Amino acid sequence: MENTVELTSDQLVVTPIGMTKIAALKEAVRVPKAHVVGASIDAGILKESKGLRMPGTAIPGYWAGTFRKAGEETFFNIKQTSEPVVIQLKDARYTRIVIGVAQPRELVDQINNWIATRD
Amino acid sequence: MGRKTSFDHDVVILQMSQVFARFGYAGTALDDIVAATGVLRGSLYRVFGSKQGMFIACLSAGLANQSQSELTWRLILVALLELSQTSLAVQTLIRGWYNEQDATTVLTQLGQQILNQSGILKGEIPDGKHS
Repeated sequence: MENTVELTSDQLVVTPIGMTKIAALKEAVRVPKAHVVGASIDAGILKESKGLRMPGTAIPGYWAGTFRKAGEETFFNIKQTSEPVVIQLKDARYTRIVIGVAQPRELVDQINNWIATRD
Repeated sequence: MGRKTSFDHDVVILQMSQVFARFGYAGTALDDIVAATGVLRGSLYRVFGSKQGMFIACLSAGLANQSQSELTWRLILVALLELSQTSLAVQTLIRGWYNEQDATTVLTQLGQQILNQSGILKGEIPDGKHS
């Protein structure tokens, strides 16, 4: 588990934990609820090119930090062995967030139901 | 790798519907959708938000038709079996549709779909390939 995720009444908060906090160079990523579009499990995303790292950490089998590709910035904090949770954002600094968490399937359902109650 | 950033929405909805109908929801990976549509992963996420958003777009398009096609009935089955218990958005969508249907017709159609997909009606020999 590389991150914890908290869903408040109006914010999604991703907090890198342990050593990954240092590697990802972030205390936390906070996104207003209105800017969260959806969450998915996506094992294949780690096999695609992630773009240029700027800044972040390069350790084999571990992606941490901000990556830029095709004009988009993605925040990664995930080990290769984790099941990736992809959180799509809009009108935010990051286009999407790709993280490893303790219970990925439960988190994906929680995020999608959380934004379904937005209106 | 030749993948597209822009696409014909209706064509992609049909292609995604076929993938969900074939593999089910949990059995569909984003890789399957990328391969079937030829659209970049990032573009799919930008337009639909999530895999659930992709499924909802397919189901909504099918339910919007006056009468449901074989493909739409398959998506309805997938929604009922895999998503409506855990997804608020899918439950709301499918309940709204169900409340406007004749319950007996829905029961008959769903039962027929399950039998059709089972292969037992035609005495098919399972070959390991998905229909």
